[in-house]
Amino acid sequence: MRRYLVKRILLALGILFAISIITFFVLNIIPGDPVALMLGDNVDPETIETVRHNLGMDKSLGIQYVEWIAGFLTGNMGESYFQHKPVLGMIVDAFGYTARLAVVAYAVALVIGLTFGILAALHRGKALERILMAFAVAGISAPSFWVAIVLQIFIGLRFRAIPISGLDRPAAYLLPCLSLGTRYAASIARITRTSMLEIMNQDFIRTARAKGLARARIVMVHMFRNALIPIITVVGSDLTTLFAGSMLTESVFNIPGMGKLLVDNITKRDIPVVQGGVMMVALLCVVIYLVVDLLYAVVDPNIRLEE
Amino acid sequence: MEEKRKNPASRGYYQESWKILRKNPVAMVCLAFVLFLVFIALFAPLIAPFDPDAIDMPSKLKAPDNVHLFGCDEFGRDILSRCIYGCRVSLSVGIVSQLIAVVIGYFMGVCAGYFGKRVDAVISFLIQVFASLPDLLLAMALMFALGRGLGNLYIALGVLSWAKTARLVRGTVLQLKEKEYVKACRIDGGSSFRIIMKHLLPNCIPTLIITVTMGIPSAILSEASLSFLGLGVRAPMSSWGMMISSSKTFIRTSPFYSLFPGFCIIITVIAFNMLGDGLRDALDPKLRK
Amino acid sequence: MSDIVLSVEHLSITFYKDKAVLPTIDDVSFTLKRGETLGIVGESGCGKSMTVNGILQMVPEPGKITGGSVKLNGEELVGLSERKLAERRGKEIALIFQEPMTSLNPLMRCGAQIAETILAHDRSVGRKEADARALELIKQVGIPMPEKIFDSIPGELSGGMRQRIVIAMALCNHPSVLICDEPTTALDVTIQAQILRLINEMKRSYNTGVIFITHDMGVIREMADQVMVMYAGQAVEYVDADELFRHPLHPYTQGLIRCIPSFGKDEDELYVIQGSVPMLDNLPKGCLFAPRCPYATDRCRVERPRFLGEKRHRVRCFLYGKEDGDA
Repeated sequence: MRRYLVKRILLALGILFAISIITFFVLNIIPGDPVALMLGDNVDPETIETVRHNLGMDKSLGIQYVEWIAGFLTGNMGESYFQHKPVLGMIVDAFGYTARLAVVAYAVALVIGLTFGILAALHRGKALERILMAFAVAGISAPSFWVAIVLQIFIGLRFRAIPISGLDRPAAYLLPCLSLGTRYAASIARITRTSMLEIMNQDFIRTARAKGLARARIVMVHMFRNALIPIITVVGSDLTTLFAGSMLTESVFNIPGMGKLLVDNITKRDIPVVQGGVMMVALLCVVIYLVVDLLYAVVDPNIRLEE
Repeated sequence: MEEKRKNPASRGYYQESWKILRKNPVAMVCLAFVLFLVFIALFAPLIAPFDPDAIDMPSKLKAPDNVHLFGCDEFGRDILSRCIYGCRVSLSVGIVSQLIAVVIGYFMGVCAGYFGKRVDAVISFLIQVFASLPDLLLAMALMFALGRGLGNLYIALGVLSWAKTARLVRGTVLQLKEKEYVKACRIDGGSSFRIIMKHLLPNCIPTLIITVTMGIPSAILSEASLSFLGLGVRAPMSSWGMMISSSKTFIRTSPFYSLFPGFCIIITVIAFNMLGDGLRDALDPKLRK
Repeated sequence: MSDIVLSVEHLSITFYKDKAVLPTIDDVSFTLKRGETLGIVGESGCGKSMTVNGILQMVPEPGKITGGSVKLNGEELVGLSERKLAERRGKEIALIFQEPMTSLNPLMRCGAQIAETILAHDRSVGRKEADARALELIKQVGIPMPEKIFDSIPGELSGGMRQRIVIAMALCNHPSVLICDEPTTALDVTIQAQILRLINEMKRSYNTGVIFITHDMGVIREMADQVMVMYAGQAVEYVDADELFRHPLHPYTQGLIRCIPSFGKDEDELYVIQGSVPMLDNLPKGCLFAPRCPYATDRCRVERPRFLGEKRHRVRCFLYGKEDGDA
């Protein structure tokens, strides 16, 4: 078990390192000089040089990377070009919104998705299964930002109690969470159904029935727990897209979260903010993958055996 | 019940798969619809009732009527025509980016599986890196670096989605490597490139077809998302995502504006998703997992 | 009360698939007494396992029991509610499967799987007591280091060990009927003998009626008191074991016996019954065995023989018509 853990952590660190290199170089090969953009048109080249020097942009990319990653590791992600605030503070502020939105949306999606998936599997071949799965296919095929707008049109504009922007009241969570969660509820429902159906045909389910266990116990203890592993895989990969996905939702509902921060600053070419933000999200994703890997080992002792 | 299937390299394999696919009514309807979409995309100029870029301020935000079936946008442009041209963008982004992804993915996967050892270690690591990237975020960064435009969308989405293909191909190749005829060919001194192209490729084709079909809908959704965020195609080119983005401001007065492009995305994506499911069942039931 | 713990009469199971009607089990009858072993034998695809499903009322979709009755300790099971059936299963009637590798829940500790079966049927038992009884059973089925095994998951055990766990689980509520569906097929020969001995021991100590299903005539000779030979969903011969090996009547039974390596006259040449069990959607018109039968006549090919003979020895074959008086 300890070897498994160490191996996974080392791999996660390696992945993070690779991602940091990729994002850094992608963001620094951008054509056009951000400094010129930042200072406006009527500036002489000398001033531009000075600013570039002050920002450390005259050094080679390699050195800039080392300085940046050293800063990142010590919590210093530099300063925004335009707002002259520390990037870390901006990210922390924005992250609060994104985290609240993402957690609530995903929790709701999990409950709905698991319930629908289990129901569909238990009603195999019946109308209920078809209806639930049709919803699920529509759910994974609809762009979340469009769902958001449709919800605004048909719910937000009809009911005054439900706001269509911000995240300041409990009621304000309703539409963003629904629009962000739909897709995940759908994908969880699909994998839950598939995975339950597969488990249903296993011999040990026949054993469980032959033992005379109650149906609820067979479904929850014997089927569901065994179906969990593929579900956890999907949850893991969902969670990593969740933060990117919330960018769209945040942009529709005007929520000042990570997504909005990144989108706004990408268009402004405020590289330190974008770099820090992308890296934070990547860090989060890798941590989630790590947790998922450990969850496997918790749910399935057979994985521990193999190590 | 698992049926015994022929080797993908043998002749009857695709006829057999086609037979299975033909018995799947959902997949056939989706296939017909996909072909219909391709037709629309190819002949957009002939089908579209109006010039998608023709500005006509008097009919600004006009609700759907007999002339403009889907209504008009904030510049009085015909929404139906813009949706039809948008189909071009979506399909081409989906198809081209996935072809790029599949070429990269195949070579990465085949190299990892075939050469093994260190090459495999490096490529497997890269696969994991790319699989754990939040792809929309990286696509944004790439589009930001490359600049907006159709060509860059192809590249950005293609470069970011090869990992899944590579993983599947690597698995297939690892199995094939143990097969007698590949071993024999290696002992006979067949060049690696020859083995990769002649013996391994035909066996990987079903996997590649499936990953392309399954990749297209997610590429279409990514394109829509990027365009929605203003990092997709350049205006005035019409993209479904961009249309939804500009419709955002008018939901109070003209809800129809947001709805139609969204419907286009959703049915296109559904069609590709279900066709992908059908193809997977027909070509390689093992991939279901 | 009589000694009869299970009586199956005229059991028929039909599958409805794509509008086709497939008679999977056709009019099967037998009785089982306390402490007795009934062997059911036949090639794979003969309907042995489906008979088990029928007894337990666990016929998978799209199959249905279309006739007959299954009486367990005098109580009719056909048509009983799922809840009542669950109360009987695992308590009065238990099942051991062919595949010990897959018949245990891979994520659950062995002890818990046994204890769960005890708890499901006796509300007066607490968790601790159930665990203690499970541990006792693990000892009883001859597992070394029972405490350790109690806390192991099935993946940590060998096939033989798992099958012992399955047996412990099946016997934990002292059922009056134990069904063993090819319990040793997936095991090594040496382990096979141990498991068979264990089943016999358990049968004796609990006075359980055992239904033993196998395709292996050798195992039948060792285990069974009564034997029913099945072919394509029908019983073709039903007799006590000694008689079966001394005077097999049905050509299919004769073939099966000749297939046992040590029974063949020439050890070098293994006897093979030509052909294979017919598919359910393509049954022959006459006797189901006729296409493979060396004695088949024209009558066999057009007319189905009935299951005839006195109580002691019944056979489904025109060779032994009542008129001929052989049986």
